[in-house]
Amino acid sequence: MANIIVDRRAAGAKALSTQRIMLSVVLALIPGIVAYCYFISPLVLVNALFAVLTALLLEAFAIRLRGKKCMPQIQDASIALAAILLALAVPPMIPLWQLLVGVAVMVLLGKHVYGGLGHNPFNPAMVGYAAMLISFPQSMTLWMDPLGLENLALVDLIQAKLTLNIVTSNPQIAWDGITQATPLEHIRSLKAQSQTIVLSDLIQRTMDSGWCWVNLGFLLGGLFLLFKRIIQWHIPVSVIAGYVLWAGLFSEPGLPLHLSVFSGSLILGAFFIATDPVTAASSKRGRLIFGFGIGSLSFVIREFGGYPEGIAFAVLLMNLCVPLIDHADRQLARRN
Amino acid sequence: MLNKITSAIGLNVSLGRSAHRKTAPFGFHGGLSLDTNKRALGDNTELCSIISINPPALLTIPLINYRKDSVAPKVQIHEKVKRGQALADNIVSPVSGVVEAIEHCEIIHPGGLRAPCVVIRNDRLDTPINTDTEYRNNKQEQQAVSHDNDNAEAQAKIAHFIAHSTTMLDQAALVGLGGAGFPTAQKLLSSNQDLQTLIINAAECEPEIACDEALMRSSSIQIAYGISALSQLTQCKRCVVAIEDTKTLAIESMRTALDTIDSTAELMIIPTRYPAGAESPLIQNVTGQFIPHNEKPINHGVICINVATTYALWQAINGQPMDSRVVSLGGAEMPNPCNVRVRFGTPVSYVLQQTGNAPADDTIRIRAGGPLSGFDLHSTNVPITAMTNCILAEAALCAPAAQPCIRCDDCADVCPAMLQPQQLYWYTQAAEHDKCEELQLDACIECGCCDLVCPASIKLTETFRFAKSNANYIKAQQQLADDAELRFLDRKNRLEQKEQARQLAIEQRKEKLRSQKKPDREKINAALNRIRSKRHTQKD
Ligand code: SF4
Ligand code: SF4
Repeated sequence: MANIIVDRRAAGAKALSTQRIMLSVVLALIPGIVAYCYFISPLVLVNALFAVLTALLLEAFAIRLRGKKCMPQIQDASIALAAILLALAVPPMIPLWQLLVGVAVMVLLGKHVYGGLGHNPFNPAMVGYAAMLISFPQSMTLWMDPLGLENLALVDLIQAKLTLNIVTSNPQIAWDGITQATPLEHIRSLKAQSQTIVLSDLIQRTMDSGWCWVNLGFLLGGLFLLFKRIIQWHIPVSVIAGYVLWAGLFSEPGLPLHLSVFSGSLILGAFFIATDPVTAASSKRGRLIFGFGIGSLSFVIREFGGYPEGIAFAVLLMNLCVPLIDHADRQLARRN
Repeated sequence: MLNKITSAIGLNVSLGRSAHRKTAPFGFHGGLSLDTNKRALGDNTELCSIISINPPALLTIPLINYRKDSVAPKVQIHEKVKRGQALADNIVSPVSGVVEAIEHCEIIHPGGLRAPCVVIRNDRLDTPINTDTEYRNNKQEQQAVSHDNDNAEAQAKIAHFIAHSTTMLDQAALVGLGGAGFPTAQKLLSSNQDLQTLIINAAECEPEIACDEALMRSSSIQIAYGISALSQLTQCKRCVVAIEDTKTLAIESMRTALDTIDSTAELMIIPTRYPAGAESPLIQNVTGQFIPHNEKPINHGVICINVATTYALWQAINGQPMDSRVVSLGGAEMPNPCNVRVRFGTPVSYVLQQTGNAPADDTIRIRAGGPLSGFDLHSTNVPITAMTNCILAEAALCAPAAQPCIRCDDCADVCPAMLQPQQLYWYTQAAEHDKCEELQLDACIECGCCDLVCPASIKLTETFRFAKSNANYIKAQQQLADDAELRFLDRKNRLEQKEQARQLAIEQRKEKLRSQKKPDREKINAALNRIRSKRHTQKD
């Protein structure tokens, strides 16, 4: 007879399984994804679907390669979540083969070389994203212009995506017409040309481009996760606080804070990416430090770095610090 | 939040009357709000009887103490024993009869361990050993008498007990009925330093376990006398009876009882939160002190006594040593859940049979202890002991396979010992014993909270329980090895010293010889000279 020490069912356990946690996070992404489809581009669905399918296949392959049974591990849905996050982070017009490279890096180098779920030091989705950002800098800036989109049927766009070479693919598609810089890139280029930023224009641009709504969608999902206690408040709050603190002190006087918070992927990062428990610090105090670090670094990268968006590198850099943070925290806890 | 609401409800309940009220517990770290789910109490009405069963024909009394070390028997095979007669230190015979055997039998243990036991054939006479004191076998009768006792008589008995506490405690064979089975006399007699707080533990926090609650509802007056005796014996500054707020009927009956005998004990209503009844969370809750795991509460001026133990103490004052306890029968597959008073040494299977709970088929798991702190039994032919508070019957279970830890830290949030279960798990898997020690694996109270919340279904508590006994084993082995090494070094030293002494003696003897030889040579020379001179004279 099995010797069960803790009888979960008799004790009335209501613990969420890993799978339930991951699927809840996917669920919480839905409002943001809907807003994304509506305001930016429905192509994100194609990307997400493609990323999830390839990620699952690659994971099954990787697990078999490691000589394990793949069903129980794949079922935890963690790689599906990572794939969706990656698809949300890249521009919708990204060619699928490039996305495939990102997914492969994510699954193989981000996760399974370290021994799979729970052992990876870096956030897999951000590993994939960083690899793509470095390898395909040009196509990683292919953001959609919502106004240009009306001129094109979805089918054409998908066709364009499937073709391998974006530049020479379809002469009918004028790339400059349908892609456009995100508000952040816009600010950056304006600053580079030392033009003054017209605030109303900028607000208009942000609202028009729909990023604001997308981020509000993600915020809604994030609050749902907090409410459901899937995540705890420490990381999202400290990420945003870290960013807002430095941005409030040092950014252009004309640029209102809420615009910079709601125009990039800070919200997505704070609620969905940085909160990945595997790669975050484990204690509450550690998580506050971890989140604050991400917020601060993402400001620094946005402001001074060569990339328009800083979240990915900020998360990866802070992932690197997690063992240090955990260790320091334990020392501190022992001293008390 | 939920806690606050429930404690608010508890507060409403306690707003009745009386001075024994204190609703400001300090709380403790971690823990879980679980459904109490006490099937053994039935539909939670006023009526809550404790069933009595006749003791079986054969009883098996394990000869082990609370540390699971075996103790030497004080009886021999074929010896006649009386009820209450000492079988070993702090173990008495629960019936009268004949010692049939002293042999190894299986006992209640997660690993199905066998231990030396005294097997007694019951003569069904229950001849008591204490013939001089009032002594009754029939529980009902005893209760009636205790009720009739007026306060003065009870106080006289208590005074008699205080005067003869050492001998009476020695005969009473009291052990803690909360689950750990620590000898009560040892606890009480070590408390001669000034005791700040005596905590009567009536917080039976685990789901399904309801034996203390049933006892409080049915025998509150005896418990109150027991508490009174205890607080007089220990001369504590403060005596707190800690009850969880969901036990409304038990609270009522305890309050009435304490009022009736004008006790000075406070009733403290604490929020229902597992594991509020474990010693260290309880002390934290009541006094706000955090007692490190390697220190004894008594050194901090606190002792905890289980409420059922106070009842047993009162029985002992009335001449009846501790030889039975109330056991809750519960679980989803228990046809007839109830609380039953069982003599120690009664087999689990017999208890189930007598209460109409014999398992229908062998897919049903029988568990000793609650859903969190207990374990499944290998066989039901094992004797009930003072530590068996609960027997559960559960359907066969396929436990989900453990997944990798996702470092969510939920386990640390609920750990009442404020440990880092996920780190500990890591180090137990890597068999890094010093790291485990550093992270205080010893402080784990094996409550099961971490196990219950882990989304990856990792069997944390089981791992810790195993690692702890393993660590103890390794320590013991290390001790043995160290001892052996010491002995070896000792012997080597001894031999060396001996050898040195021998060498020294040889040297000394040589020296002596040498020094003795010197005069000899002179003599020889003298003799030679004499001879030579003689020759000279002869030649001349
Ligand atoms: S079983 Fe041990 S480690 Fe787990 S919560 Fe309880 S005390 Fe903490
Ligand atoms: S609860 Fe389970 S998964 Fe979460 S940190 Fe603890 S051991 Fe890991």
